[in-house]
Amino acid sequence: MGYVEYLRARHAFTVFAIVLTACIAFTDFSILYGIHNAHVEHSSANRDTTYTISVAPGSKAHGKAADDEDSVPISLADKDFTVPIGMLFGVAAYLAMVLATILGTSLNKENSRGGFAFTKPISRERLALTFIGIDLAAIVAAFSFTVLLGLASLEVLGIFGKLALEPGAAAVAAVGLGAAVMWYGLLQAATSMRVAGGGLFVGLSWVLFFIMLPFYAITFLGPIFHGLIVAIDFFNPLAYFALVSHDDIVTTISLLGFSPGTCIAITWSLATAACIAAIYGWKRVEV
Amino acid sequence: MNTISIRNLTKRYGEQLAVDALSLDVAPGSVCGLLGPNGAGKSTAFKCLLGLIRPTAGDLAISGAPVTPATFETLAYLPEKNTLYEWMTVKEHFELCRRTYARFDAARASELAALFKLDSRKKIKRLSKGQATAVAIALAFAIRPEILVLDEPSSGLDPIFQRTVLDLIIDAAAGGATVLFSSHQIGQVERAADRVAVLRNGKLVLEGNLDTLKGDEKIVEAVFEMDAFSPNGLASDPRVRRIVRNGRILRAYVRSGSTEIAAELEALHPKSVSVYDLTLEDIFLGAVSDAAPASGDA
Repeated sequence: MGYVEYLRARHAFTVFAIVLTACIAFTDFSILYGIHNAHVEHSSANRDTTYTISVAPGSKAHGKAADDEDSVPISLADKDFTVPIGMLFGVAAYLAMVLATILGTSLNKENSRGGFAFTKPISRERLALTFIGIDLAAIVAAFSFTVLLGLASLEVLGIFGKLALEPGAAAVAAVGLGAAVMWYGLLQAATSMRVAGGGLFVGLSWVLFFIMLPFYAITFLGPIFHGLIVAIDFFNPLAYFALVSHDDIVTTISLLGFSPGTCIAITWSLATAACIAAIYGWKRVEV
Repeated sequence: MNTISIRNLTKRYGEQLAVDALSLDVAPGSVCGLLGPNGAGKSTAFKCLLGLIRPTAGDLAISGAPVTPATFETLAYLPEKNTLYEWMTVKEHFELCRRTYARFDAARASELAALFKLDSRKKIKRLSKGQATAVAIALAFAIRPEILVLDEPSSGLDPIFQRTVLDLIIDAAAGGATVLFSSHQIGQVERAADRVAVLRNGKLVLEGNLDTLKGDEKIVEAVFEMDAFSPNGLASDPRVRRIVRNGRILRAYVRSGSTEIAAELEALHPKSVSVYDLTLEDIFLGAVSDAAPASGDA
């Protein structure tokens, strides 16, 4: 029966990969096309300090005539910057969350097929574990694919050498993946006992988790309200994962003030607990 | 030991009693047809039997033991509503069953797909209701099950494929499989089943061997010129089990002495008098319109 979830996850991942590849290819193409058609016009007054970059084709004909000798091609590699791998991990984690929510109602989807799915020579616990295992593999695959595609994109743009392996990157990956898996687990726990309506929960979770973030800053409504928001945000994956960049180093911070290590522990623990609750609920569901 | 054993099965949804103290046994190698009007509790009984819903009370066993995942290695269930995956192709469903069942017979599956003229590349959502049912039937029979629980197996099928399903059931039973199936097609049940159970409002109102149920009982039908006629004390005759009057038609369900009863009715000068053998449809209609439980084994 794991074959069903394999097909479902494969389909979701394929769509994810195609859309992401198309987006990155378009972005890379736009950048390369822009660079190809861009020139730096050296100001005759001060060649060392003033640059005007025009990226539109035929721009040399614009304004004061600048002949070919006054224009030199630009290259991203010449620029002084770095690409922190933590940023790549962070983006990959956010995209993994998208796939996690798509797959997060897989047990719920089986409930409407119970007459077929639950009359097979496999226990529901084993079936649930198989489903969750396949889904988690797909989430990790989405994360890894995004990172690899990002690295490939850097290579295409000729700035692979700008990649910086900062020390906090592993924590970004661990918290980000933890938040994605936690989101997945919460959806499974909320929907595994329901016969229908999984999609509604997915939509609501996105709205709720995003809305709860700014609510955290509201303190003037009193400590009870704020306490309630904090309590809800404890189960909000996005409250554990926010990217911040400082001095070309990308790290993750938690809205709740936890350290990355604590965030890793909480997100993965909640993900595990939610998955166990989902399996327990699913075992008892009547179809 | 009975292959299927249901003892005092009760299922209650709040105040509503879906199944009321149902007891039913199906012997190895026999075909039991479960009949009943819509909402009689047939599907609920099947679901309880297979562990899809929890019974309120009762003991259920298949091959002498409660249902476990291992039970489904040799048991095929066809639910009333099609529960196949709409987004998957027919071929993917066969592949799913191949991976799931140790005894899945790929050659048999191909044979059944050809029998029902199934296009294996098509997704379930592209199939008609009857074709989707045919896929489910093909999957059920492709594992060469020892026990078949079929809830309305011919639902949505055309008469040709209904006959095909009937033949599959009879063939499986001839090969030693035990079959419990429900159907609204009384003719199908009469043809395939050797044992019949009738449910009404969740209660078993009739159960027994088909031949025994039919027994020697006959229907004596008289058609009169006018509505106003008197059966002349026929109802109190011990040979008459039941009398049904419908306008100018009188039907007497007679246990014995049908010839004598027909002669008595002839004396009332009807337009015509006929004697018929009892059919399963007559037994079924009698059972669901009559509150009194009966047993064909008595």
